[in-house]
Amino acid sequence: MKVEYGTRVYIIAVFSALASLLQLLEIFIILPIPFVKIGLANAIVLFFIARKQYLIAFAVNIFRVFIGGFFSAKLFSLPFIFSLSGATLSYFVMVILFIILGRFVSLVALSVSGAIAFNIAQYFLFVYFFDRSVDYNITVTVIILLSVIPGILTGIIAEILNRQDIELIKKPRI
Amino acid sequence: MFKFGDLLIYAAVLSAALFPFLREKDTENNKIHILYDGHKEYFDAGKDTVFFIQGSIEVEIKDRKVRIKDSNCRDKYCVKHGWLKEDQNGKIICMPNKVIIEFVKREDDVIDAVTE
Repeated sequence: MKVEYGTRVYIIAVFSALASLLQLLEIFIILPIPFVKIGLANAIVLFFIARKQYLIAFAVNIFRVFIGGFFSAKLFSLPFIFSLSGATLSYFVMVILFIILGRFVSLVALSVSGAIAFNIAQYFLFVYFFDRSVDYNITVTVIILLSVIPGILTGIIAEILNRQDIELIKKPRI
Repeated sequence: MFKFGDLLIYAAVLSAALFPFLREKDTENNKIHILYDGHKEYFDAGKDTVFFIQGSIEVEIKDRKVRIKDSNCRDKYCVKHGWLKEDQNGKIICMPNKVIIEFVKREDDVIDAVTE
């Protein structure tokens, strides 16, 4: 799928808005475990990664952190920096895994790895800021196990999205 | 929903989750940090010694454990505390003599304050 520059800007704008809306609406979904959220915005990023639109995926991933941070009133604060670093690391983990494994990997596994990367980045940054003793201990196990279930949920949603034959770009009428 | 390459990712996730249980704890570099009246001093946990702080408190280090053997304070809570091992996150504190003894990982590992 070849995307021209102008259409790419439109796609990034529309899907950043959609992703940040999903991220904000997620506040109302209450899970039984505290501090756990599903991460529905990641499904859109995965959708673009699966169609090999890495640049659009990266832009959507970064913009939704900025817009979501703006509307939840924590732009440029410490949780925002955690969120930004987690989003960046999870994007690179997912893209590198997708490039290496290619068509042998499903979106559910990619989503799980992305969710784990997101949370691990935040955890290590938090430990570095507040504790100064970065250690690989049992907290990492808890974080990984808590990331798996939302990751699977997001991955199933991304898989459903990817199976729809969505026509992203309409041919211009001349 | 499932493809063959997923097994690789799930195996990596599982091994990362189980790694802290399989690993041996490295306590080689632990040091004993003694804070008395504003001064900081570090002692090697592996070296067995008996020494005095300010001439009144007798500290004994033995088998990677530390205790206050004798003190001149009134209630002697620090002496009753007994041995402090390095895997328990405790401190020996003697309030009248302003002495705190604890284990730290590195020499710059002691936090004065955390604020946001």
